[in-house]
Amino acid sequence: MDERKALIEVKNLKKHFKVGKNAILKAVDGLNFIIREGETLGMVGESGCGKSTAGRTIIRLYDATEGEVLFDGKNIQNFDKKQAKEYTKDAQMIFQDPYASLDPRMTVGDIIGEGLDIHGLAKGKERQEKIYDVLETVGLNKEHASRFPHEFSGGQRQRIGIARSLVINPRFIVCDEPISALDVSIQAQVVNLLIKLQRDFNLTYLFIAHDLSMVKHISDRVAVMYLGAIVELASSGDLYLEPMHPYTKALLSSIPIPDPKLEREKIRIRLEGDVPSPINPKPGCKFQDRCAYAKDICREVTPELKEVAKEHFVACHLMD
Amino acid sequence: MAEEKLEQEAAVQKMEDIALTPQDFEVVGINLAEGQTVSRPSVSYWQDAWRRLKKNKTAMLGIFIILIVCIMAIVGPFMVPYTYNGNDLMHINQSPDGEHWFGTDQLGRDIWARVWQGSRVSLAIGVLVALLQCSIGVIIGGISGMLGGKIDMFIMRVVDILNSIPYLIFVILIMVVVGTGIFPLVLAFVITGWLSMARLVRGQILQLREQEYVLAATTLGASKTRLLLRHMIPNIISILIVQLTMAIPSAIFSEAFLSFIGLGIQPPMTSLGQLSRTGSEMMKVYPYQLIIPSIVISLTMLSLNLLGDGLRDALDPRMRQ
Ligand SMILES: Nc1ncnc2c1ncn2[C@@H]1O[C@H](COP(=O)(O)OP(=O)(O)O)[C@@H](O)[C@H]1O
Ligand code: SF4
Ligand SMILES: [Mg+2]
Repeated sequence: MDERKALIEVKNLKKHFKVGKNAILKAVDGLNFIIREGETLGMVGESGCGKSTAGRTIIRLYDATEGEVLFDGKNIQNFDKKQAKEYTKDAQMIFQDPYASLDPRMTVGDIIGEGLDIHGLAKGKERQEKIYDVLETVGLNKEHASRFPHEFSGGQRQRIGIARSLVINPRFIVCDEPISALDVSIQAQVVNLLIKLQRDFNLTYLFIAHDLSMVKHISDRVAVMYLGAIVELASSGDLYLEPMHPYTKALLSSIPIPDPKLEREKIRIRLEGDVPSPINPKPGCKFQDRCAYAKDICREVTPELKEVAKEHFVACHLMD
Repeated sequence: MAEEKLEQEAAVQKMEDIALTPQDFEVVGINLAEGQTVSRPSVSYWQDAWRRLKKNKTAMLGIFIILIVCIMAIVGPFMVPYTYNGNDLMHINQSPDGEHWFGTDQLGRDIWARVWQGSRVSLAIGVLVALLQCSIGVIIGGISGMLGGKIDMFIMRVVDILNSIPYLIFVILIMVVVGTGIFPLVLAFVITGWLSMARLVRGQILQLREQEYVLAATTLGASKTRLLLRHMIPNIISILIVQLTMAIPSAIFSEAFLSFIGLGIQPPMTSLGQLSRTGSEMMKVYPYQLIIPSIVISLTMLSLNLLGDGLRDALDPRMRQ
C-alpha cells in the first residue's frame, strides 16, 4: 500500500449553483477522496458531470457549498487573507482551452511572470532569468518570451500555460483536461512533459479528463465521476482490469482494445439514454435511469462509496 | 451547330489559358524552423490595428477632416485681425469677402473668428464630456461588475433610475441651480452620459470574469484591482476607445442642440450651436450666417463617426486571423 502522506483530503465536498428561483444545480454533490503527495489522481466522467467545478472548488476558485478540503491538513475554507494568497502559490491549475486561458493582450513573458510579480518572487533581471528557465523547462525557448499568445499553436500555448503554473513552484496542480483540446499527435507530448515535471519537481496532480483512455497512462489512481459524485475509485490497473461499477464497465467497454480477438469477444455495454440534468436531482442512485441492474433500493437510497476490495472503492448497491 | 462548336473551342482555349504549369508552383520561400514555432510575425495588437485602420479610406478621411477642424480651431481665430467678440456696428451683416472671409453677423462680428472660436468651445466640450462620461462609466461599471452581489444590485438600480429621467430635466435643474454656461452644460451631460458606459463595462466584465485567462490570474493570487487593471480593461480597451470616439460627436450635437434652443452657451461666448442659432434668425436674408457653422458641425460629426466606425473595424478582435 502507498505510504505517502495525503496532500489533499476532500471530505463530503459539495458545490451547488442557484440557477433559478427554486432550481439548484448540484454540480458537485458529496466527493470524498485523498490525493497523496507526488501522486496523480485521474478524474474521469462525461462532460458536465462536475469535474471542472470540483477542481475549481479544490483550488478555491469557487467557495464550497458544504464539506471541506484539507491541504496539508489545513482546511482551505478557513484560510485568512495571507494564507489564501500563500495557497495560490502552492495550488495551481492548467486549463482546458489553450486559446482562452492566455491573456491575448500580454506577452508570453508577462503571462508567465505574473505569478512572480503577484507573489513578489523575483524582479528585473532575476525575473527574466526565471522566465527564460521555465520556458526551456517546458520545451520552448527564450525568444518566445516577447511574443504574443496568438502566434503559437495549441500545444505550444498549453506549454505556456504549464510554464505559468510552474514558475512559482507549486506543490499541487489541477490539470483540467489539459490535452482534450489538442491534436492527438500533440497530446502524448504534453502528457509526457507533465509526467517529467512531476518527477523533477515532486508535483501532485489532479488530472481531469473526459475519457478513461487519456488518464490511464498518467494516473496512479483513477476516480470515475457521474453527475457530481464518484462512483468508483481504484488504482489505475485495478480499474481497467476489474471495473465493478456498471457505469465504469460501460465506459471501459466503449474503448477499443488493440487486440482484435479480445475486441471481438468483449461484451459491450451500451449506455442507454442521456445524462440526466443535475438540477434538482431525484433521490437514490444517480445512475438509476441508465443502469441495467437497477433495483427498487436504487431509486430510494443513494449508494455510498465503500471499499469493496483493497483500495478499491465503489458506490453501488450491487456490492452489498 | 456551328455556333456551339465555336463556343466549345473557345472554352477549351480558355482552359488552356488557365491550365497550370509546374512553374506556377514555384516555392515562394519556406522557413521550416519558423513554420514550426510561430505562425505569424510578431506585431503587437496596436500595430496591427493601425495597419488595418490605414487601409480604411473613409476612416482616414475622417481623421484628415478632424485634424483640419482641430488645427483651425486652434489657429483660425489668430488668422484674422478681428476677435470673436469685437463688434463693429459700421459693418454689420457683410457677405463673405476679402476683408471678412466668412462675412460678419448682425452686430458686425467677424464670422471667421467666431466660427473657429465656436469650434474650439464645441470640441472642448465634446472631448471633455466624452472623457468624463467614459471615465466615470468605466470606474462605476468596473466596480459594479467586479464586486457583484449587493453593491452591484444597488449601483444598477441607481443607474436604472437615473436613466429613466430625461436629460433635459437635468439640464434645466442644473441651470436653475448653477446658472448657464459651459460648466453647467458639461455637468448635465456627464451626469446623464455615464450610464450607458457603466452598463456596457459591467456587462463586459461579467463576461470576462468567466474567461479562463482571468480565472488563471485569480488562481495565481491576483487581486481584484489587478484583474481589472491588468486583464479586463486592456481587453475591453478597444470597445472603450470606440465608445469614446462616438461619445464626442454626440456631446457636440447635444451642446449644439441646447445652444440652438437657447439653453446652452450664451453670447458673446460662442459655440457652433450658438452660431447656428444666431444665424437662423437671419436665415432668409443672410443664409451664409447659418450655412457656415452648420457645415462645420456636420463635417466634425460626420468625420468623428467615420473614425469611430473605422476604429470599430480595426480594433475588433473577431476580424483578427
Ligand atoms: N458558474 C456556474 N453556474 C451555474 N452552473 C454551472 C456553473 N459552472 C458549471 N455549472 C454547471 O455545473 C455542471 C458541471 O459543470 P462542469 O464542472 O464544468 O463539468 P465538466 O467539467 O465535468 O464538464 C454543468 O451542468 C454546468 O452547467
Ligand atoms: S446503485 Fe443500483 S442503479 Fe446505481 S449503479 Fe448500482 S445497481 Fe445501478
Ligand atoms: Mg470541464
